[in-house]
Amino acid sequence: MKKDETTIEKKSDVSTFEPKIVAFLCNWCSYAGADLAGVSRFQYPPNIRVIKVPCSGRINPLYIIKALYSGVDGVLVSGCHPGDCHYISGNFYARRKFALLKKFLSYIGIEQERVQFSWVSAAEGARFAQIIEKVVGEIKRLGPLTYFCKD
Amino acid sequence: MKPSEHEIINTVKKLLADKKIDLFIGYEQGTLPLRTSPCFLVNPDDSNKLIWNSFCANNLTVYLSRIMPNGKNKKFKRIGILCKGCDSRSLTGLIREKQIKREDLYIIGISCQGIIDSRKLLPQLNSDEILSIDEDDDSIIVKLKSGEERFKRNHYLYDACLNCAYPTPGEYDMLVRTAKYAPQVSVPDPAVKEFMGKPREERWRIFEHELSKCIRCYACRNVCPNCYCKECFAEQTKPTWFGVTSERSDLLFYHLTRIFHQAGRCVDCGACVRACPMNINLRLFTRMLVDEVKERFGYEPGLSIKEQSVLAAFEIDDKQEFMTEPEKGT
Amino acid sequence: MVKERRGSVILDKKDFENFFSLLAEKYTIFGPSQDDNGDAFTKIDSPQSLKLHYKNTHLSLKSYFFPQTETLLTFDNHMKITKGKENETEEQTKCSILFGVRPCDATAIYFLDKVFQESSPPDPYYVKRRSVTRIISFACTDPSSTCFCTSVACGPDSEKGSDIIFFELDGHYLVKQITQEGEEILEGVKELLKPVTDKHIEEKDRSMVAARHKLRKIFEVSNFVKKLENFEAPYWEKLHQKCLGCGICTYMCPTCHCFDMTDEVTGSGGRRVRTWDSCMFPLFTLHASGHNPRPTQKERMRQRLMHKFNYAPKIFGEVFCVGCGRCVVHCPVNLDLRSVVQQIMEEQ
Repeated sequence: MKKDETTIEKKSDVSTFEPKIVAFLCNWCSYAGADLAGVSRFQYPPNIRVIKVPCSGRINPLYIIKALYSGVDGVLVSGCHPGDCHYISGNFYARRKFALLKKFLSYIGIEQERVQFSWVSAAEGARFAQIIEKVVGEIKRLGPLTYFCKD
Repeated sequence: MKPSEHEIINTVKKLLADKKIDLFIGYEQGTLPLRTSPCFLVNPDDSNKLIWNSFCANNLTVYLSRIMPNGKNKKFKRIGILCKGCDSRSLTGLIREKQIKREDLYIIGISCQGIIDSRKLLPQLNSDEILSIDEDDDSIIVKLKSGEERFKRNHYLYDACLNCAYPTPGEYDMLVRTAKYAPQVSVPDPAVKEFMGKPREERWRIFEHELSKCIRCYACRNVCPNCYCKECFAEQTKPTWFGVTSERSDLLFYHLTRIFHQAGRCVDCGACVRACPMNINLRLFTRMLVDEVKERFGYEPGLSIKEQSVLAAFEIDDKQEFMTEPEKGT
Repeated sequence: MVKERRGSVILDKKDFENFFSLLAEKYTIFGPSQDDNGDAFTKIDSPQSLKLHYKNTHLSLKSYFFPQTETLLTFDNHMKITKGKENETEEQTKCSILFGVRPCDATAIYFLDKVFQESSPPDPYYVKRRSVTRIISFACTDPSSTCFCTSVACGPDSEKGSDIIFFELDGHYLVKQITQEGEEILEGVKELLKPVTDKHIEEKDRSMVAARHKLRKIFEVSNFVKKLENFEAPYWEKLHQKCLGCGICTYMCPTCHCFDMTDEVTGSGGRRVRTWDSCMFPLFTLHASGHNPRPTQKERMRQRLMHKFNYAPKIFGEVFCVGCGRCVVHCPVNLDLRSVVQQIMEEQ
């Protein structure tokens, strides 16, 4: 019996598509930065669902893959700037993992823009909003991720 | 019998007889044409079963983490093992990751001229009965019922062997040198490069199509020396990462993750491709990470038992060109 | 010697296309296709796409009746339960024929029928597919070197599980009806069928003798069944050493039928799925307490052999092996069942 299911990616109407994006934010820098953005009333698109982790080094690539599998359209992971990690070196290890994961996902054909990584410090509320703006905009243009999620 | 085979048999006989090792893992004749099989010897007299030829494909180091769980050997104090270049890199990887101890092993290294892919050679034999197989530096000589045929070795090697840079083990207690071998420089795999040049949709289509053949037998995982986890993510229930079915999304999840778990650890021995009953070209995907790790971090796993795992280390100035920056001027 | 004629007819090879077209009117036909080089069964629309000179399919045919993944029921968060898949289409109106099945694979279906159909209660998912499928097998004239059907009480002309069996002769097929359903099929094409003669029977017998000659009988399975009574025999210690514990032998095997059931939850509901499982996996017998009654590969290997060659004969009256050789060909460490049996037979 053949398993012959090449999927067709549907690009829905851009104006109505609202992507669901999971954002893994490190507690000490990026989450605080997001908080600052909120307190400062910087507007940014409401499409992200935040999951707070103690450190970007805590991110197991499985979380990112599971998020895509569960039906989100994109993932953002954000941590402290290199050298500023609350746990000294967590983000250094994360950086290597993220580099390889990003390259690998892009190699097998998942759009580069769907899984993104950033450094946002606790003082960078505006920067956080700008990054979300950018990420949401890029994923919105790509359309929903239909070819990887659990049917 | 070739001199290298002779050397191996005598060495193992002596090691077992002198009780320097309690068990030897090597290769014996298989029951199918062009196949060999792993064998486990405890008796010095059984050493005559051992063979060495260009069909000794299996990566025997996969058994080490099972027989000697986490270095706490239960049954065997010291194990002897026959290693080709790729196998010794796997073995070094296991030592690096503290799954086995160097002092618990006696490694007979053998410099390899490349292993013949029986899936490539068998169709050439037209189901004719094989009477005997011999080889020299250049060719495999097959005596069929219909006559003798010579096959140029390099045309029938495994894909992994074609791009092998380390045919001679780096770590050994004794080295058996076969005839001439040429150490090479590891180059990025041409198939990977070609794949990278394809448009994104086509890459996904190929990845999906190739891996949809999978029947989730887990042979790729079980034959891989690096897959020694007591509980594999694929079978975890706390949490359950993905479904147990053979549907596309589950297959892709499994393979994507398993391949990524090999990042910086895979030595490209090709055992996974050999084992796969559905002939999935896993190397097209695993090799990409091997090349990327070399290019980005200048690291190749398995070259020294003192090395550090690439993802358990960092440099302050690791490249981070992939990070997202906000649009300029916003 | 009374030559077996009952139920046998002759179909000329030149009438095969018509035969196929008549069948295709009433049945959906699946068979080994030229496109896959006989590696798999696909829907056959014209007789030219059939590749009848093939060794055997890569995967066995059990997935036609016992698919690797099957949704048993779906549920939503209003407690509504639907048996089978949501939005499942209506019953197919046409029956299917699996055409050109090898007798070993057909015999395996016969064994699976005992497990799923003749059990109490019968498995409705299996029965639903099985009841609308007929099996027309093709006797083997050119077995592989890895086939060992004659060692396990099967053979190149085994009739179990088939509704009709074809024997290839020179210029004709000898077509033998085995079941009532087979008779129904042949009724529909009776104008193409000719009476069989002694000469045909002799030709068929000769070709089967030749096929059996190629299949060396390696062991006498009934002796092996008795040998396995010794559960605690010492040879189990060594036999499993090579085994990596993957599922290749189980998943390729046409008679292996163990499965697992899992509940999956989606946002608004979920489903219960049945998937293939293998006794070679450590998790197969892992208890919730953490205890595993088959803790090492030794116990698991022993289980596999005992189930097939000792328990199955006791429960179902059949050795659950048809000698197709798939496990032998595909085992990544060349753990050859034939050698294992021989080794055990040689032990005291």
